[in-house]
Formats: sequence, structure tokens, C-alpha cells
Amino acid sequence: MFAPLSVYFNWSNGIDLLVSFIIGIGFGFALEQGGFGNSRKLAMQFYFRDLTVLKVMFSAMVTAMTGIVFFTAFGWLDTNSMFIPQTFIWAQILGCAIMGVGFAIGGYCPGTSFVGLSTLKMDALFFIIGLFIGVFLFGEMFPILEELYHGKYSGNMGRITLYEFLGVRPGIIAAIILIMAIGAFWGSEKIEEKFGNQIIQ
Amino acid sequence: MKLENKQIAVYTAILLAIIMLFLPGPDPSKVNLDLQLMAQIIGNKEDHVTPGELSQWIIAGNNDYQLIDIRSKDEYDKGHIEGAINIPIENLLHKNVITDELNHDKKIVIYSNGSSHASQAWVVLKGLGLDCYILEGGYNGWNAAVLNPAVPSATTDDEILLYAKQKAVAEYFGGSNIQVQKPANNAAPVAPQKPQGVKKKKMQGC
Amino acid sequence: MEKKPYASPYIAGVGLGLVLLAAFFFTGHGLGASGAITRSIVAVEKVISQEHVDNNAYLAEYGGGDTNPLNNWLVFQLLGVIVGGMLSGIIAGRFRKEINHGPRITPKQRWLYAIIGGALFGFGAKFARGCTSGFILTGGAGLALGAWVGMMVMFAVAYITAYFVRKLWI
Repeated sequence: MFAPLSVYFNWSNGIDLLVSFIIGIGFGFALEQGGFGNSRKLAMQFYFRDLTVLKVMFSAMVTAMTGIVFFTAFGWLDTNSMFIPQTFIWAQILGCAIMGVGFAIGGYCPGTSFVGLSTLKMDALFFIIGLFIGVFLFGEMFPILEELYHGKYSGNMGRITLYEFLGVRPGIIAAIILIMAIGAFWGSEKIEEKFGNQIIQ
Repeated sequence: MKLENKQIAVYTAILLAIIMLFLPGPDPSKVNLDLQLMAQIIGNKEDHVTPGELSQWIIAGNNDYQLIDIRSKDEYDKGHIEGAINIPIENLLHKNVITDELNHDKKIVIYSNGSSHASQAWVVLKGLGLDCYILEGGYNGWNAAVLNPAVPSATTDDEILLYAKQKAVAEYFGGSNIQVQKPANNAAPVAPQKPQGVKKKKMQGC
Repeated sequence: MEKKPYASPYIAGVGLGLVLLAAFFFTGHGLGASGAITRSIVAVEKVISQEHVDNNAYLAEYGGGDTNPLNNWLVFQLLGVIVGGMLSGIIAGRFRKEINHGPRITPKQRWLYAIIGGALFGFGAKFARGCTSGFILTGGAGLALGAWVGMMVMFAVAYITAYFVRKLWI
């Protein structure tokens, strides 16, 4: 087992920051190539005219997921040393619902808003201002929100994955998700056709 | 052309999915040593269970822990703590023992004669993600503290109460060297207190 | 320069997935964006009032005492995102000032809704411990339970909300 490299080769903080910067470049490049700098294109997901978001997100997710499953099976990657977000089920359901509203109204998510900003989309700038406001408000309101955030109403289930939750091997879940993704891609193409192929170029 | 590419991609994906169905998951016997966390636990002595605490658990009939005597079978047969099962240290670290005989949902308390073997085993079991504790002082410490409680030299009320409790516990376990002299203030033996679980430090998120 | 069409979403997606995989493989963590925002806010608050940061349990975790909130991979990764986006935009001829909005509203109205959307998103991202990149994408690839549940909730709510705000986009 030798990955994550930063753990097994004991990288210094500085190297981690540098590598993260480089990875960020790839991240931003891929997002912009897919057209995620354009808020109208992103918002069109929700009107079934342009399902790029679904295609990109699922392709990305299953690519990385497949890589992780294979690397783990080869004994190269140690998932215990990898970051997997902890599950706070109620807090996260609430958070994701609020984000859903914000996404539909604002047309961006934080990552894509910076991609938009980097290509001079001015509405991205205002979305980012909004982000700062929202985060600031959360910090100020924290004492009242604390129990819901990580206290007794948060639904803290610890660091748990779908396969641990269902008691199966990771490969089983990954295979099901991969097949579902293919189905979702096929479905997206059909839906876009039905709405007249108004994909934003 | 484009259609063919798509077909290749779909077939490759289906093939990968089928392979993944049969791939093994992460190896449960691979040890993950989070050194910083372990250092913190050791420094805060959260890796220990005292004989007093363990005796309370036994008396109260708790079943949320698994007590393991990691000495040799001979030593175990000569005398062991009530409720302990015997897994000599050289067997303890085998993959099938770890998966089959250790209860991953319960607290695991291990002890040897002193503390050194138990401490070594603790590092490994902790690295495997088990909720593991060392009995402070080991079997020797258990004998001294629980079976033969020392009569306090000073006679404050607290110490007398404590000694009385210890005597009651010792009698429960059939300790051999019970000092019969009564403490000066004639405090009657008090029933053991409700057992306190060992507190776990909350892990900081990222 | 003529604006080139966007890349195929599948290719962009696989590319993004490989970047994510590389992130896990090299650094042990995935991608993220909202965390950098939080840290920037805390950094500013530290300058204005260190005491305020220290007294708030949440802010103190990021910037209490001597802790530098900007000394974190999220901040550097986001800087990289800006560079990467710019590069891609320049190469593809999309590097130009624009305000994207639906045909039925004005640019100025778009700005207002962008701020509202951003504020909601930022607030929600704190509860979820991440945004679409940091929580859904990263957590989803790692098959985290909360990420998959959250993904379904987020998109369901977004689709429903979109119906009610369709004036903004179509």
C-alpha cells in the first residue's frame, strides 16, 4: 500500500499545498471545458433542456469511484487514510436542501462560480459575494445552530459508506452505481431530444 | 464514428462493473496507525481501564465489553479474572482470530501479568480500529488493588468509605488476604457505585 | 477569437474524475471550494477582531489563537481552479465579459438573484460540510452515505425550486 502518497511518503504541508494548487488547475480546466462557467447552461439542467451537469457529475463520480475500487483491490490505495466526509444525516439533508434552492436561484455552485469568475462572467462575482454573506451569517448564528450542526439533532452517523451501511463489498455498490450511471446517461440523451435539443453551446 | 466510440465506452464500463462485483474490499487485517491520535489517547491515559472500574463492570454484570487474558494457557489456568477468555498474545494477532473471536462492537479489555505485553497488543488492535483498553497494572495490579485492598494509612472519611467499598469488592471476588481490622469510624460496607464507562475523546473533523 | 463549443460532457466528466482520483491518490483528500470561502471569511474576521473569532466555537476551529485559516489545501486548490478556468477560457475563446441570465430578466436583476442564491448556497454548504465539489462529488466518489443521500435531496429540491423561479432562466 503506498497511496495516498501524502500519507505514506509523509509529505510536508508545503508539498500538499503545491500539489493541491496543481490539481486545482486541472479541476478548473475540466469544469470550464464542460461549460460550467455559464450559469444559464447550469440552470438549464432544471428545465430538462441541457443535462450536461448530470452527465459530467456522474461521469466524474463513477470514474473516480471505479479507480478507487480497483486501486483498493490491488492493495495500492488505503481508503482508511483517505478523506471520506463524515455523515451527519439531518444536518446534511437540510444543508443540501438549502443548497438546492440556492442552486436553482443563483445558477451556480461555489466551484463553478469561480470558474465563471475566471472567465469574466460578472454574475459569478455576485454569486460569490452571496456565498461570503451566507457563510458569514452561519458563523454568526452558530450558537443557535450548533445542536443541529453537530449536536444531538445532527444525526451523526460517523464516517460511513454505502457499502459499510449495507454490509457488502465496495465493488458491489460501485458496479450497481456504474450500471445506473449508464442508464442515466442514456435517459438524459432521450430527455434532451424530447425537449428539442436546446443544449447551450 | 461517434456512435462507435460511445459503444466502446459503454461496453468497457459494463465490463468494469462486472469485474468490480468480484473484487475484494479493503483488507480488515491491515493496520492503520494514526500516530497522532494514538499519542493523544496514550497521553490522556484513555487507553486504560483501572482495576476499580473493571471490578464495577463485572459486579454490575455489564456485557458491553470483552475481557481477554493474553497470557499463556498455563498462566490462565492457574488463575484469571472472572469472565476473561484466554487468547495468548501470539494467537491474538492472527487474522482469523481478529475477525472471528474479537467482538468488533464491544469494548475490548486486555491484560497480561504486568502491562508490557498488553501495551504492545493494544497498539495493533487500536490500529485495526477496535475499541481497545489495557487493564492498568495487569493481573498483578488486579490482585493488589481488588483482591487485597490496602488499608488506608490516614483515616479521612473518604478513604474509609473507599476502603470499605474495596473490601466489599474483594469479598465478592473471594480475595485471599482480606485485612479484617475494622476502620476507626465503623463505616459499614457500601454497595458498589454505578460503573463509569471510560470516556472517549471526541475526534476533531477536518 | 471565435468561441469554440464546449467539450463533450462525458469527456469533461471523465477528465474531472481523473483529476479527482489524482487528488485522492496524491493528497488523500478530494476536491472542494466552499471551505476556501469559509477560511477567507475567518481570515478577514481575524484581522477585524481576533477576540470575536476566539469566542465563537465554530470560527475558533478555523482561526482561533495563532491558527492561520488560509494555510490549507482548499485555499490553494481554489486558486488553481481560477487559473485553470482562465486557461481553458482563453484557449477556447470564452474569456470575455458576460452576464448570463434568462431572457425575461435584466442583468441587474440577475445580480440580485445571484447574491440571494449565493447566500443560500453558502449557508447550506456549512450544514452539509461542503458544496457540490467538496461534499457531493468527493463524498460521492468515496461512496459516503451522507453524500449520496444529500445528492438526491439537493437535486430534487433544485428541480422543484426551478419550476417556481423559471422566470429567471427561460
